[in-house]
Amino acid sequence: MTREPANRPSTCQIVLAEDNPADVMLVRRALDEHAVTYDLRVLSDGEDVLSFVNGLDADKKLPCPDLLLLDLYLPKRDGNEVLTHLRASQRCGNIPVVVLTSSDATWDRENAAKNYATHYFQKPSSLDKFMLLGRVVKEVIGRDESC
Amino acid sequence: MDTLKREVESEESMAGSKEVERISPGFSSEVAAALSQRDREQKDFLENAAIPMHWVAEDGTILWANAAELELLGYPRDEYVGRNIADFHADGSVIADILNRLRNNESLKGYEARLRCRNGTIRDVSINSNVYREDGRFVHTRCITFDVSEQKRIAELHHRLSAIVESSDDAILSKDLNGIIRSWNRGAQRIFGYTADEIVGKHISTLAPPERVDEIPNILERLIRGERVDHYETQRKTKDGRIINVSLTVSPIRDASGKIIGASKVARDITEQKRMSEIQERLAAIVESSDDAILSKDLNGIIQSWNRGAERLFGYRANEIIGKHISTLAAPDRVDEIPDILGRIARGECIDHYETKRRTKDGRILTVSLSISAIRDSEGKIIGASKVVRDITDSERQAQALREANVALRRANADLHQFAYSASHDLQEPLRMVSTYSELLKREFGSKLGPAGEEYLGYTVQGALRMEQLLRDLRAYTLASAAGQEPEGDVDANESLDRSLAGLEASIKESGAAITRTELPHVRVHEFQMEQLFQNLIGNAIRYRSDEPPRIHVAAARKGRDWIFSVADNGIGIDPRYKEQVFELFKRLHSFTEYPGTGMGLAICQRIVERAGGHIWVESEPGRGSTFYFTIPCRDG
Repeated sequence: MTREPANRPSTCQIVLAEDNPADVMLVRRALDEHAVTYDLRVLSDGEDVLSFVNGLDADKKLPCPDLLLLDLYLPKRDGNEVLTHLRASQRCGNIPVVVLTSSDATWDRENAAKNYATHYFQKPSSLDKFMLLGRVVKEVIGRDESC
Repeated sequence: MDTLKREVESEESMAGSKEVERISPGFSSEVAAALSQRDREQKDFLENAAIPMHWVAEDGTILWANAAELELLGYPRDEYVGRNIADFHADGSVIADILNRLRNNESLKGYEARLRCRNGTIRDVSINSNVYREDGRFVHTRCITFDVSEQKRIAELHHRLSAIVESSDDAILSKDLNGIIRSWNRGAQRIFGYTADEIVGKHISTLAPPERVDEIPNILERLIRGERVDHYETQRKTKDGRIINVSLTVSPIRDASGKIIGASKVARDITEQKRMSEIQERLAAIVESSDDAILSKDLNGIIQSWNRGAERLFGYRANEIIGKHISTLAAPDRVDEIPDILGRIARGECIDHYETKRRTKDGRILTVSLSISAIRDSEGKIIGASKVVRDITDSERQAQALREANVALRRANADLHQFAYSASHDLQEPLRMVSTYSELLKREFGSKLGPAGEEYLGYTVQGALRMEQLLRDLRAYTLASAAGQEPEGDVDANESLDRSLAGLEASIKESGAAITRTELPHVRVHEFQMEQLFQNLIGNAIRYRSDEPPRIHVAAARKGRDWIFSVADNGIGIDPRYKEQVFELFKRLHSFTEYPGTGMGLAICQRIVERAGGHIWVESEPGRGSTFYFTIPCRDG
């Protein structure tokens, strides 16, 4: 990647696919708590995420996001379908994806792994544990060195 | 010819006068007259006696023959006397031999020969002959011939009959009116085992088994009355004691005057025949009483036989359908398959459980299973086919209904499972909101709520956490009971135990539990379920501990086809009254504040064990501890 290390910490472009406003709020708090500088774009159903990815593929001028936080249980198109579609995208097929879900089902974990999800974060009931998402995001984008 | 004839005649007359001359010279006229009288009588005797006689010269020329001889052969004198005797013998070599012997002074007695009559018939004769010589010179033969044709014919007949009797497969014997056996053929020997020497002279009852001896006098009586006994079926006993089924035909033997002097008896061994006919009857009865339709057809497809089962199934009576073509029975859309079936039969193929549709007399369509096999004649040639038709309409319908019910059940099960799983998942989501935001509320506004507010909030969080545990267990329970995929391989129970102990690390440390274990086997259980099993049982052992630190022992032992696992503790134990109840869903023996829990742990364990093909139970002494046992079948048998 061509970004200069000097630009860090720059604003991280994060897309959050999540239909629950309460979870959107918690995600924001978790990112804030771990001092991530971010622009958060929230898409509230699977259809919107697919259009977003298609839009990026269609218009090369639009910037690719640095990270996708993806809830698996989305309205219209579920997270697995979205993830498959994203991984097939020419422009942003490689962006890191943190799957964000309350499911601990084996098949959900397996599907996520199959589609090269970067991390599987099971939404916990404890506030403190939820806040750990901020650390996960930091690690993932740090590893990616894109912002 | 004429000359020859004349010579013979003159010779004949000469012979006559010579004889007289030989006797007469020198006798008185009375004597001569008496001699002449005697001469006439002797001449007459020779000429007219009822025995054929002739003289033949050394070369075979017939010099003289009497009336009886001419009568025997049917020649007039002039066609016989003067001819060579060889012309009248059927066998040239025989007369040559006769003459030869006579020339050598042999006297023939009862020499058999065959003479040809004028009408071409052949007579069997017995010849007695020698030669009259004068001064050693062969003058003529003295030949007396007996016609033995009739005796010969009778002898031959007798011979032939004997041969027939002898070679018969049937036992042929004769007995006199006292029942004494008089003759015995080879067939009798074969059937009864006695040789003629052994049995001739014995009483006929020797051949009857004890319970049949009574019938002998009856048979004899009937014979004496001149009755025949025809195909009388009874039993007889062989020399080696076997009882055989025989068919007897007994007929009276009469002497020449017609007086009954005994009986001939033909006995046929029908044991095998009887057995076969019994088998045949039995088979026929089976066919007739079969619930399946059994019918036969020839290679043209014409129905030849039809049992009651066929009548019941198709509705046609035998007399309605026999002679009709088999396609009468085919469902309209199955008529095409008939030529193919007939072709396969003609090639000698068997058709087994062929499922097709057939039509009854009243037009109902049946689903049937056909089994068809070729019928062969005694030379093995295929002449038709037998066919067993089984109505599977009902079973077909039942199978279909069962399949549908199964699909519905599976769908319902899957739906239920999906429902329970989704419900617990979807219920968890709002709960997560309650607990997370309660915490958030407490964290950010705790100081403003005051002590009472904080306490209320505490209960809210606690309730949410407990609900969450319940949902987690409910999910585990539905997973354990789902008829999902079978485990693909064996799991090392040692590793499962390791992982579950790691999961329980905090409570082990907090309670000071000491856990011991033996070597555990590999078993065919889902990996995560095996882990959950240990986790629930050991978790319980820690939770329901007494005042002492928990001591827990995990072991496994092989018993028969099962592995028996045990988890033993020194905890508070379980009242035996509840040893069944503890495995029920949501059953709890203690208050939540006393021992927190959802009441699902053991129900989950039971589901896991039962799905693996085993069972689970508990033995306990209240106050001293409990041991939970569960079995998992061994896969190596």
